[in-house]
Amino acid sequence: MIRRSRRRKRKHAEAEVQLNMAAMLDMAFQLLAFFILTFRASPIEAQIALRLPDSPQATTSSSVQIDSTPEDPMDDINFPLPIELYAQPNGELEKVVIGSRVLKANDPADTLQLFRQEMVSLFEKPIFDSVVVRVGKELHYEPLMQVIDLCSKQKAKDGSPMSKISMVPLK
Amino acid sequence: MSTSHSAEQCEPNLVPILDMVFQLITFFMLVINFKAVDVDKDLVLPVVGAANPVDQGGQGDLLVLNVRSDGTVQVRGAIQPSIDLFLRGESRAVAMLQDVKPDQPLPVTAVLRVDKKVAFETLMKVVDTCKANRFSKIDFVVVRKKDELSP
Repeated sequence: MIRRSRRRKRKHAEAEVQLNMAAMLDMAFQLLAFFILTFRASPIEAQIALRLPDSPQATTSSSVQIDSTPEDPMDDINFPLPIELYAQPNGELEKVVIGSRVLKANDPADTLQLFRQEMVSLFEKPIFDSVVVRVGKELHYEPLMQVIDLCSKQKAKDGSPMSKISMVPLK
Repeated sequence: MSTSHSAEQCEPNLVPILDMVFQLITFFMLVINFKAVDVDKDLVLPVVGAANPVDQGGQGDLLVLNVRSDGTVQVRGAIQPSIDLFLRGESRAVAMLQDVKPDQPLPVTAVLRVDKKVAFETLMKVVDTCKANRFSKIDFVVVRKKDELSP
């Protein structure tokens, strides 16, 4: 009886536990294949938060003439910078009007470049606390966002980044 | 001599390869986007520079509206035949669940993912519909320029 139990013990000690790695590897590769095939790298998205007016009529009344000569005493005046965006029939940017100044080029990208330069010169000394963008109905979302982007890069009168940007339809 | 060679069993060590495969699986599981249903991958978003990275912390709930180039609006993977009806239902549901008073704005941000070819008129219709249904917080999603990714 004792001899039999010893033999059993020795048998147990000699037996090696072997995992079936091939099956596990097979499953792991299937999971890996699934994740690789369903993986799609998405572009880095960002957000622009705008302060939109309550009603379109609230901001359409002003027609401010801009004169950016440095001797103008405009320090104590609070008014928005009016920008008008006109669209071509295909939705591209045709021209930008800032006050009485018309910015127009043959290529929409050049028009945007002109607008960029104008904004830099206008905001050398921050005098505006908000921007009102009047937009043509046909204008596409991309040129609109590029203009909004350029506006939001400027500094407001109090030195903070320009955040009060309104969009209203152009009449 | 030859008999002893054939008798030997040649077993590759599978443990390192299994280890590597599990690491790869872990990577792909971590980067997988479970919110993909909300996002219409067919949209071409405009590329601009100064936008802030999407920060969902402290914004409360988000309602992602995908506005396609043809003007249709896709929400949660389904095209909505009437965005006004949809937002009205959402508005009622949110107000009831979160106990929001009728004169208060809803604590939900409407995130507009708009195709770059969408006309301003279409965009403003969607924005006005959002505001009419008490979704006063509206964010516009764009793609950041690669050269301006760093803050």
